[in-house]
Amino acid sequence: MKKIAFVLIALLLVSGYAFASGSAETAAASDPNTVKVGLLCIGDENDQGYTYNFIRGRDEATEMLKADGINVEWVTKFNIGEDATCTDANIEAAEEGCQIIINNSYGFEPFMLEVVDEYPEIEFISCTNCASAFDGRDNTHNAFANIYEGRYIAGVVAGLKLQQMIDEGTIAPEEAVIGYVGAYSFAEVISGFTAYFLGARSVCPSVTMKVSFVGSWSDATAESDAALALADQGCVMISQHSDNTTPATAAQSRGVFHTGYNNDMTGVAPEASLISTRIDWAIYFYEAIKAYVNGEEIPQDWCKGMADGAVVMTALNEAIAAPGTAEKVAEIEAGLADGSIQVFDTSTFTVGGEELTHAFALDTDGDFTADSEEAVYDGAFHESVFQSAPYFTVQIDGIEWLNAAY
Amino acid sequence: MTTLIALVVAAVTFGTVLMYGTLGEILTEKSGNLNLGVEGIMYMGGAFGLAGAFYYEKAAGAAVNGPLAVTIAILSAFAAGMAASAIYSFITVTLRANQNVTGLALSIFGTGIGQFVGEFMRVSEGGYVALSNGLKTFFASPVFPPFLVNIPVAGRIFFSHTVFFYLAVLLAVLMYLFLQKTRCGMYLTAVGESPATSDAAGISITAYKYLATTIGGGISAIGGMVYIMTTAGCVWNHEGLSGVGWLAVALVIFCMWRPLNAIWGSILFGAMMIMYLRVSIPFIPTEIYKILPYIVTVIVLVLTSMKNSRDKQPPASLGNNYFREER
Amino acid sequence: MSTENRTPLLRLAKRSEMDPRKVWCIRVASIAIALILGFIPILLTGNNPFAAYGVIVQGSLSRPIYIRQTVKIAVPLLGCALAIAPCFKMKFWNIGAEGQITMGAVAATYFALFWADKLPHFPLLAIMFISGAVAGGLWALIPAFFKAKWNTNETLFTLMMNYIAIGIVAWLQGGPWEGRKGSQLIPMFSDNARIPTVLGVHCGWVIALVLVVLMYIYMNRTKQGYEIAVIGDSVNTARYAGMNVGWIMMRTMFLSGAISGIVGFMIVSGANYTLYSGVANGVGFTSITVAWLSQLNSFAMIAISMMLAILEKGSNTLQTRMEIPASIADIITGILLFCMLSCEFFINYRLIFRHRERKEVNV
Repeated sequence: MKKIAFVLIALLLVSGYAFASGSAETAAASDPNTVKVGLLCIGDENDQGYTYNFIRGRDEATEMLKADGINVEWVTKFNIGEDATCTDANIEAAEEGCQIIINNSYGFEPFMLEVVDEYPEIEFISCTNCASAFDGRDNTHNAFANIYEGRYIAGVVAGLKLQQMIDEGTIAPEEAVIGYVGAYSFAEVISGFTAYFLGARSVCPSVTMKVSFVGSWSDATAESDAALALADQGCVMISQHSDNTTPATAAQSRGVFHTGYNNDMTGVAPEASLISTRIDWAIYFYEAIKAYVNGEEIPQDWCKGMADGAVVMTALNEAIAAPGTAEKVAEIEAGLADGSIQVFDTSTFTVGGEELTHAFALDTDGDFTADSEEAVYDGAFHESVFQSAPYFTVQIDGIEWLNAAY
Repeated sequence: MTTLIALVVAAVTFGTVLMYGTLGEILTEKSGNLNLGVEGIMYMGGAFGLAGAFYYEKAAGAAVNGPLAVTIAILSAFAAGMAASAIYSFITVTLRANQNVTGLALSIFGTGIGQFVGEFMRVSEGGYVALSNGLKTFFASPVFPPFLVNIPVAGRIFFSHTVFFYLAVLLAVLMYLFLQKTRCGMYLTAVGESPATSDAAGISITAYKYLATTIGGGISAIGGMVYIMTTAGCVWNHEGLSGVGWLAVALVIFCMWRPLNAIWGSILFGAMMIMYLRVSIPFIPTEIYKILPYIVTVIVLVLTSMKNSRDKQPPASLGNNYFREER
Repeated sequence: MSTENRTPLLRLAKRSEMDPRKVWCIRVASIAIALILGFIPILLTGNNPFAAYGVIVQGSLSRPIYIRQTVKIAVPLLGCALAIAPCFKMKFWNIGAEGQITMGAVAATYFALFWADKLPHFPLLAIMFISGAVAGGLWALIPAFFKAKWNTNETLFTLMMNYIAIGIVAWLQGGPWEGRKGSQLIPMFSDNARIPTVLGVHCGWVIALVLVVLMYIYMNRTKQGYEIAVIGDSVNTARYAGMNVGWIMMRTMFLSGAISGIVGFMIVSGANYTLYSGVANGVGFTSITVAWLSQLNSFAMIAISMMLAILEKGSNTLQTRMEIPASIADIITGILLFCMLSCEFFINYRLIFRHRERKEVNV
C-alpha cells in the first residue's frame, strides 16, 4: 500500500508537470501588437481606494488601447509587501514574460531597483517614487500626477461646507477644524494635506487642521481609529491620504463630514463624504504602453495634471455639499488650468510666521535632504515641476502634526 | 475628560475583539491544551463570519434582517473556529502529536484559509466584498437607544458599544460561573491541572479536552469576525488580522487564566494598541507603545513564576498531552 | 473531522521499533494524502489540480532562476530549523526563533549601515555574522535565564519576545535608522555589506549546509549533545546524574538563538539587503514545524525545508499564471503539516481492536 502511495505521488507530480508545461508564455512576443504587462499592487480591490484606483486605470487603459488595436495581457499580483517580497514579485513577473512591470507603491522602488539590471530589455515603472530620473538607467521610469490640484479643490469643497456651518451657526468659526489621516510624515503626504488645507482656507479663513499619521499606506483599522480619534478631538471634517475607505465610514459614524482620495466614497458614507479626488492612471498607462508598442521611449519621469485629465474629481455629493459648490469648483478648475491660481501661492501661507522664500526640490547626493533646484519663484512654490514625485516638505502655520513619529 | 472617555470607547472597540480571542483560549487552555493556532482561528472566523453575512445579504436582498445577519455571522465564525480547533484536537488529543507544533501548523493553515476565502470572495464577486451600509449599522453601531448613549459621561462609557461587547462580557461572566460553580467546570479545571488524577477519578479526559478546545476555538473565531465587522468596516482585509491572535494568547497569560480578568485586561490591551493616536507622550515613539502589551505580559509571566503562587500559574499540564498508558 | 476517539473499540499500544523503511513509507504516504487533500481548495477555484501542481513544480524548479529563488526561501527555513532542534530535543519549547532572527538581523544591520564605509568587505561581513549570532543568542538567553531560575513558562515567554523584537525594528524603521524622511524605509545596504553569491544564490546556503553537518555532529557525537538528550528524556535523571540543568538550558538556548541570529544576518545581508519589521516573515514559526517533522534530524530538514520552499515559490507562480490566491501555499503547507504530524501516531502506536461484546461504557 505504501509503495502505491509512493508511485502515486510521483505520478501526480509528473503528470501535473506534463499537463502544465506549454501552458505558460504562449501569448507574449509572438504578436507585436500584444503586450504583456505586470502590475504589482500593495493591496487589492477590497480597499476601494488606492489599489482599486489602479485596477480601474488598468481596465480603462486596456479598453483605450484595444481601440488602437493594441492588446494588453495583464499579470496582476495583489497584496505585495513593501519588502523583499516585492523583489521576488518583480523577478516573477519578469520571468513570466512581462514586458513592462508596474510597481504601484512608493515603498516598492528600492526593492524593484534590485532587479532592474538583470532585465535590461524589460521596462520597470515605479509609480509615485523618484529614483529613475537620476539613476542613469534607461529601463526604469517614474510616474505621478499633480494630485495636489485635486486636493486643493477637495479642500475648497470642504472649506465651503465649513463656512456654511459657521454661517448657519452650527459651529463657531474657531471650531472649523479639519482632521487629516495621513500615512507617513512624508513629502507626498505633506504636499497633499497642505494643498488641501490651503484650498479650504481660501474659502473659510478661520479653518485649522490636525494631522494624524498612521504609519502605513494601507491599514484599514488604523485609518479608522485615527479618523475616530480626530473626530473625538473636535474635528468636524475628515480627509485622508491613505488607501482605504474606513476614514469615510468613521466620519459618518461620528456625524462629521469627509472628503476622500482615490475613489468616490459617497457609496460607503453617503451622509458624510462630499467629494473625492483621484489620479486617473488610465491616462498614464495608455501613454506608456502605447509608447512601448510603437517602439518609443517611455518617459523617464512622467507627470501630468488636471488639465490633461490625469487628476479628476469624483461626483460632488450635492445632497450635503454647500450651495454653490459646483460653480466654485468649476471656477477653480479653470483658474488652475490657466495658471491664474497657484496652489502653493506663497502669499497665502506662512512658515513660522514668515513667508516662504526658499526651498530646494531635489536631493541629488542621496542623503535624503533636498539640496538643489530652487522651487520657490514667481510668488509660489512649484510642486512636481523638477520631478514627478512631490517634494513639498514644509510645515506651514495652521496645521498641527499630532504624531510626527511616522 | 472627553479625551479619556473617547479613549475608553475606542479601547473597548478593539478590546472586544481581544476578549473573544482570549476567552476562547482560556477555555482551551483550562483543559491543558495550549492551542497556538488562535491567530489562524481568528483569521478563519473573520473570513467565514464576513462570508456568512455577505452571502446571506446577497440571498435575502432588500428583505435582509439585521439581527439575523448578526446571528449568521456569529454562527459561521463559530463553526469555522470549531472546525479548525477540531482538527487541532484530533491531532493532539487522539493522535497525540506535539501541541506547540500542531498549534503553529494551525496558525499557518488558518491564516491561509482565511486569506484564501477572503481573496476567493473578492475574485468571485468581481472586486469588492462588503456589507451594505444599512446592514453595517447592525454590526458597528451602539446597540442601546440614543437616549441612553447620550447620558453625559456614563452614556458613552457604558452604553455606546456594539452588541458584541455586551455579549463578550456576558460570556466572560458565564464562563466564570461555569468554571467556578459547576461540576463540569471544576472537572475541566481538574483535567487541565492533573489529567492522571482526573482519569483515575473517572472523568473522560478526551471528551473534556475535545469540548473545551472546540468550543474555545469557536469563541476565539468570533473575535476575528468582530474585528472585520467593527474596526475594519465590514470589508475583507488581507493583512488586517495579523498579530491579533498572538495578542490574545498574550492576554490569556496577563489575565492569569481567569475569565473575569479578561474583561478589563482586554480593554487595557485595546487601549495600549490605540493610545498612540490619542494620547501622545513626547519621547515615547509610537512603536514602543505598540509593544507595551507584550512587555507587560512578560513582566506578569516572570513575576507570577517568581512568586510561584499556585493559583496564578498556568494549568499544570498546559502544553502536554496525556497518555494513559504512559502514566 | 471530529471523529471521537472511541476507546472502547480499540486499544493502543506503543510500538517497539518499526522497520525504518516502513516508517518512511508511512511518511511519504502522508505527504501524498496531503497533496491529494490540497486538491479541494484548487478545485474550489475552478482549476485543474494536476495542472496547478504542475505549475507549482514548474514555478519553483523549471528554470535556474526559479531554483535560486526557491533555495533562497529554503535557506532560512533550514538554518532556523537547525537552531530549533537542540531546544526541542531538550523539550525546551523555544518558539521565539522569529524574534531571535530579528535581533540578529538588527545587530548585523547596525554594522551594515554605519560601518560599511569604514571596514573592508570580509572583516565587515565577519563582524556582521558574529554580532548577529551574539544578538540572537542574548535575546534567546533572556527567557532561558528565567526558565532556569524560576521555571518561567518558556513557550509563552519566547512567544512574547518575538513581538518585542519586531516592535523594536518597527521603531528603528521609522526612527533612528530611517532613510528618506517619513518613508519608514531603512536604506538598502551598500554592496560592501552584502554577502557574496555562490552559484547565483547568496552563500548562506553553504553556511546552512555546513551547519547541518556541524549540528548533526553536535547532537550525536558530543558530550553536550548527549546532555541535551538526557534532559529531554527526563530532567530528574539529568539532575541525579549531576548535570547543571539550568546551565545547560541557558547554554543550549544561547546556541539556538545564535544560529537564528546568523539566519537573521543571512536574510538581511544576502536576500533582503535591508531591514524591516517583517524580516523574519514567519520563518521562525515555520521552521519549528520543519524541525519537528524531520524528527530533529539535520539531514531530513534539508528535504522538508526544500519541500515547503517549493510550495511557497510555486504558489507564487500559480497566482501569476492561474490567478489562484497565493495563500494556497499556506493551506497546503498546513494540510501537509497536519498529515505528517498525524502519521507519527501510526508509527508510534499500534491499534488493537477489541471484540465488540467487551465494549465498556466510558465517562
